[in-house]
Amino acid sequence: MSEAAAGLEQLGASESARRRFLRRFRKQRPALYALGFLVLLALGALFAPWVAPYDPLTQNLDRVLESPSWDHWFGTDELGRDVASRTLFAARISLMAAFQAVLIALVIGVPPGLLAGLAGGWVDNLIMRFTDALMAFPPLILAVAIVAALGPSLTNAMIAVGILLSPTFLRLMRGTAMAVAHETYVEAARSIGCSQGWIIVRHILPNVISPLFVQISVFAGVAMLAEAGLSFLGLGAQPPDSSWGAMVGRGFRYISLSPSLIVFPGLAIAVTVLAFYVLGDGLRDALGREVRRED
Amino acid sequence: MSTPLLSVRDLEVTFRLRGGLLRPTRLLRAVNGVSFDIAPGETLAVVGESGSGKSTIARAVMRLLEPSSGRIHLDGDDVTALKGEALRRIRPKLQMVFQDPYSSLDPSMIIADVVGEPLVVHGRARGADLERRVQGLLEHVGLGRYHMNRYPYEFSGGQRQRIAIARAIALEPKLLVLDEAVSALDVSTQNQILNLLEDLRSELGIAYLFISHDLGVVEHIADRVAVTYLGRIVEEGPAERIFSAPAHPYTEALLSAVPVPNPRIQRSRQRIVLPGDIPSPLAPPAGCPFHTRCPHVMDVCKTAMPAHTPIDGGGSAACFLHDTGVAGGTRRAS
Repeated sequence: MSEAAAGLEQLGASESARRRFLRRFRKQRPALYALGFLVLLALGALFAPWVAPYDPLTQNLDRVLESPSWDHWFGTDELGRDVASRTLFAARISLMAAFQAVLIALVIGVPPGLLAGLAGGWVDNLIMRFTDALMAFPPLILAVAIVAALGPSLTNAMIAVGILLSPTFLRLMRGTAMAVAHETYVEAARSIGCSQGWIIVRHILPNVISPLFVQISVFAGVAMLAEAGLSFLGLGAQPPDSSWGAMVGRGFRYISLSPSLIVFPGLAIAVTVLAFYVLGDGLRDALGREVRRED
Repeated sequence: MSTPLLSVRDLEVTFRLRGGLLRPTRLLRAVNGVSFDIAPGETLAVVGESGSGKSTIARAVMRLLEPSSGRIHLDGDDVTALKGEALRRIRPKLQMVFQDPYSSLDPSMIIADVVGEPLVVHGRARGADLERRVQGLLEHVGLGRYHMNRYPYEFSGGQRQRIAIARAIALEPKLLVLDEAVSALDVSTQNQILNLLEDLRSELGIAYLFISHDLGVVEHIADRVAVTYLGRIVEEGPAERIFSAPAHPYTEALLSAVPVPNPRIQRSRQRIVLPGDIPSPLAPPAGCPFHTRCPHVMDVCKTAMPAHTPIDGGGSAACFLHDTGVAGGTRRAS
């Protein structure tokens, strides 16, 4: 290699994996907007007590079921509470619930998935048959059964959702781990004398992580939707706490008097779930391996 | 010859092909009764078509596969039955370079970690010392130190193979197994890598087990050549003798297929075209495995397996044409 070429290479040198990911992610416009929206929403939820125009629990029985106005942007509910403030406070519950469910799904899905994929044989068979049985259950029935057994509370509902989502994480990890374990670089690691534990930590885990991020984003949306459904049915958030799903559930009773009551929390659910999906899509494209060999 | 560095005796590798509901489990004998020695600092090339078992030999020697029978001695020690920690401890003596430099380097690791990994895993170096040694290794294979923080995807095929070689020589092995190490590269890059391997051999005195299907490449680098067919070594001997006076009809056919870089000679050459394909190793033919395609096939070939017979000029061939012990065997003058 000539001096000049070497110099050139040095200039364009080293781009860390993170920077490469960021460069490619920046090209994913919709995903960027989705991420921006989610960050704003999270900040709004976090600082709700300071941002919200009214206290979400203060009742004003003189002004019930009002339509949107300059005083009450989203109108008022059946007890005269400000819907805009309530929607913002409900974002805390809804986001937290989605986070809980995904975390639970990760904890019960990922380790056995990796184990099944790496151990193979009867271990794999046992874990997968158990997973099949879990997946064969109608999801809503299972969720209702779990909530019925543990008692209605948001955390219990999210445990149910987490359990329901875990098989997908399990299967994803199993498949990815199996594929990575057969890569030549894993065989190469064995040939230089790496121990089994070293291979798993240094070679397999770093290479199974990226598909996981995509799935986490998509499942945050799914969990939020599931939470909305369960809360709508009264199996999730319990008063005085309120999530978006619970708001829709309560507002539903007054749909003929004040249709706007369900529109805003409903819209919040739709837009947020969509944002999680779009973000997941963008992550997949930015992390995707198939476009990695751009040269 | 002094005591061999690597000694392989009657190596056999069998794969079990799991059957289904209506298909029985079948045995695939990929390597069958293979024996060879490699002296310290010597290059043995194993050549053959795809499916002849040469890569399986490499993986069995590396103990990445369990041999089903036979013995492997490295440096005088029996390594056939080593497992776990004991196997890990002898790994530094033999290292491997894989065929595809695109899949043999972990895409999530920077080059400094890729090349330094063997040193770390075996506790040979750490910290500043590690960095210095990785730098030295990269320079050794012709790569600058500024590559250290880059990822494998930023390199060309030839550069990646250099990285793989730097990693393989990090532990100063006595034997380097090169499994089609230059086959995935274009011709000019191939030559660079072959020159690098030559340099490393003279500097470090490493022995090579060089697996290849490309006789043109082998002629440049090998001291001795072993020709495989259907999991067996059909001929072996000094490279010079194999290339100038091949004894086995299969070796002859292989050599006749190597193009000569001179159109006039190339056009006038007689090519020996073998009929058909290499038989399935699931159903190897009886007798000599080559008899279904051999231009000199005799009756005895279809029933009996020829033994290895010494050949003038060194080495041996497993063919009844040279086996004077069998009636009807005529020793060809070549």
